[in-house]
Amino acid sequence: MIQSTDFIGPLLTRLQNRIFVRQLVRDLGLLVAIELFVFFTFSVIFGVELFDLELSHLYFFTFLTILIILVGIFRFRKKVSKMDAAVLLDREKDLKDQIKSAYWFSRYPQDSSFILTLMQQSQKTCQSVEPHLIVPINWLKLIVSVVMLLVGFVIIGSVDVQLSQSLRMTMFNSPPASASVLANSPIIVNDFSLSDEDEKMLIDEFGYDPVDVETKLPMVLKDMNDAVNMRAVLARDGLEQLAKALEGREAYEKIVEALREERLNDAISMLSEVADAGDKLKQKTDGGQNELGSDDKDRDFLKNIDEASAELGNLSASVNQEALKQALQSIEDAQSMLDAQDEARELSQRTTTMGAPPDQLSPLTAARFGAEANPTDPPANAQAAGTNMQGGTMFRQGAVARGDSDQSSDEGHEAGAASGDSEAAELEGVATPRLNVNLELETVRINDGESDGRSDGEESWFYSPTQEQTADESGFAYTPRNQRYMAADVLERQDTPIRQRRIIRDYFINIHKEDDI
Amino acid sequence: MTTSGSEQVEKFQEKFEQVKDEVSKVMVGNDEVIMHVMTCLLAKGHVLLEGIPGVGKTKLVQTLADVLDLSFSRIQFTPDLMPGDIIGTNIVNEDDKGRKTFEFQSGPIFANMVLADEINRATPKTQSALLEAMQENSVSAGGETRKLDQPVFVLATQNPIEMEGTYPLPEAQMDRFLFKLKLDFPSAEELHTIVDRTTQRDEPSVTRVLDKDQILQMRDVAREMPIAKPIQDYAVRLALATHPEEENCHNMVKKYVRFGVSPRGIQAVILGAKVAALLNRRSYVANDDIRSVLLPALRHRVLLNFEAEAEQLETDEILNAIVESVAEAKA
Repeated sequence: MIQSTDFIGPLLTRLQNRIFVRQLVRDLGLLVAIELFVFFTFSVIFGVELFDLELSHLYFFTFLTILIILVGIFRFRKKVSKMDAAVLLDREKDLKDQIKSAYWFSRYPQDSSFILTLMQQSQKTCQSVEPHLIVPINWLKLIVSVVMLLVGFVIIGSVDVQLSQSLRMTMFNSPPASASVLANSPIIVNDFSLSDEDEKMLIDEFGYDPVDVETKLPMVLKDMNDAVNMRAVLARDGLEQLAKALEGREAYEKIVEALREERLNDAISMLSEVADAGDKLKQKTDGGQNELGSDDKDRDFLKNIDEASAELGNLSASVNQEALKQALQSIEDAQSMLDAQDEARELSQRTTTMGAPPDQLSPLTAARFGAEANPTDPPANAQAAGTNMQGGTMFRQGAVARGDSDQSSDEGHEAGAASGDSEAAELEGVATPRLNVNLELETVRINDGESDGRSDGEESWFYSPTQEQTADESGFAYTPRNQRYMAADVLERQDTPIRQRRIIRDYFINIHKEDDI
Repeated sequence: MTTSGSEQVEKFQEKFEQVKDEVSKVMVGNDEVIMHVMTCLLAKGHVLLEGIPGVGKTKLVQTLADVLDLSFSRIQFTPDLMPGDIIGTNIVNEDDKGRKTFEFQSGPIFANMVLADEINRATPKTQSALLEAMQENSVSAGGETRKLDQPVFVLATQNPIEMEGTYPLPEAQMDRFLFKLKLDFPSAEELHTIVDRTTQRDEPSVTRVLDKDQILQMRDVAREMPIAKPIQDYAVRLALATHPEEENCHNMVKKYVRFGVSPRGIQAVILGAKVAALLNRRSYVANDDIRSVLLPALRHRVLLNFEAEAEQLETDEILNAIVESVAEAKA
């Protein structure tokens, strides 16, 4: 009498399947979106990239994938019943529980004229029902959503998120050596090898873990390039200042020329000869004024030396021979810095991938610095206002900072008051150069200080007028306190290229290492 | 069954419409009350009408009695009314030969339609005289039980505002009524119509459209109405939700309800829903039918506690909250 399952069963099965598919897709889409969000968060905080996952992160995302599969299984097991499908059909078509009752009576038939009527009415209703209208599945929308999710994966996986750099710096305050940064580095090397000597130099110079040196090598090289190039810039600047100090005197013309052509060996030998000659003449002077006075040429030469030395060291003639020796030492230091740059350049060329486009190189690499490091008319950075010091910057500070009296043993306590009437000002604090921070990196400020504790044998690159001490010192004190802020400020600027931000960030870190400078 | 379900539904609906049309000639508004009164009649139940004086409670019953070809009696309940005045009593009769015999003089309860006007004015003892008649459709008097002529349809009225000198119906008595209906005060437009109809020389008259047999037949049809288990389950869950001891009951139930509905209440809901389905031209009971009769079927079966009475809370508010909180399909 009741042919219920003939019409109502298949219809409800179709509805049931469509509901299942729709729910499954919705659940999976939600889970994938959550996974995408989690991955994005990881990528921002930890710098993990989709296509360069470390094993631990791989475990995490494997767990998420398993979770998705479990949700699929759960959804399948919790598949909507036919009664649920009947309820949905009643609700969508406003049938007042007709299909629900009909399905029930089809499963538990009763002999009733009312049920027969119900079944007849339900059959008519079911024949007019279009399952795709009751449970619509927009496949186009679905495909677009899936494609957008995949695109999202690819974008997040391939782009080094801009926020990650500054955020990581703010959060962890340590230079990350993540695989993502290395992968995006312009000097990334796919195939390289280091000699033991090179490796030792890298370890000694930059303090990287030797176990980790192979994995961090590209970054090590980049750091090395940056540091060496900066030192080379400072050295050239100092040489230029020295050349300007010696400029205009006949005895030093060749030395000036050699300094500007970076023939430092020649400059050293010539300056040594001048110094030796000066010593001999001094000894003659001390021995007998008559012998010296008879030789005008020797007198002129000695005068030249005294004047040049006075300019160099702002000291009296009696100690200017010492200044010349310090200048020699400074030139040797500069030479070692330039040699280090050459070595670094050579090492970089050996280890980097051939044919890297110049625009992808670090702005601090030698290639980028070449033109700027040797300007034809370099500006004088030091200022000599209010002092007898001319030429401003000098390579040694403590050694030349002697008083004009016999208290010469108190090195570094008084500076200035050399040849003029000005009184020597006190040196304050540790002499440390302060770099005027910007992307150009050319300008170098110099500090000297009182009682910096440096002896003559220690390296001290620069000498600056004492008038700048207060400003320089306060600036230097300000800088490390706000290092993080300044770094973040530069890194977050829109005009800072994304791929160069890490280099700039590392620059800020390196520049404030006290031992490094 | 000779006739199909759809034909039965059509006939049922047609007869109901006739009754409704006739009653509407006299009664103004209160269509829902009329429908529920008819539902009680066809569901083999009794109805308690509640409303302030003058809203037409008695008039409704009288009109219905006129429309239906049924015997009708009215009992005005007063405090001095005795059970015998309702049921009847044995009186001594003397025949022509002078022999005296006891003869049972049936009371007004022996009618198809009984109007128990202002039922709460009688004492509980008298009120309880109706219990057997309403539940068992029989009357025991003088050591003899007498069956009442079917259909038995008791319509009681009570005034909710005059509480002095009244005896509120005991719970057991209340439970005997299938529905408790409230007659609202008519609107302004309805009042105009009432005045127009009742202040002229000729008052509207009605004709009998339904006899006893037809009513009994309609009662049988209503009982045959099938109800699917999921629908019945919804009604059961609604009834259980009125019990404060249930775990997941509504907060209002926990706070204000003393006792939930009895199984008789669930029967009332199902029976009322079956008739409602027929009146809605359906051959099956839907959740809508359950909801449509829920308030009249359960409002007098949910017993509120003192806190609810102090806050003048109506059971209808609690039942509406229950309807909103209980899902149609079981989770």
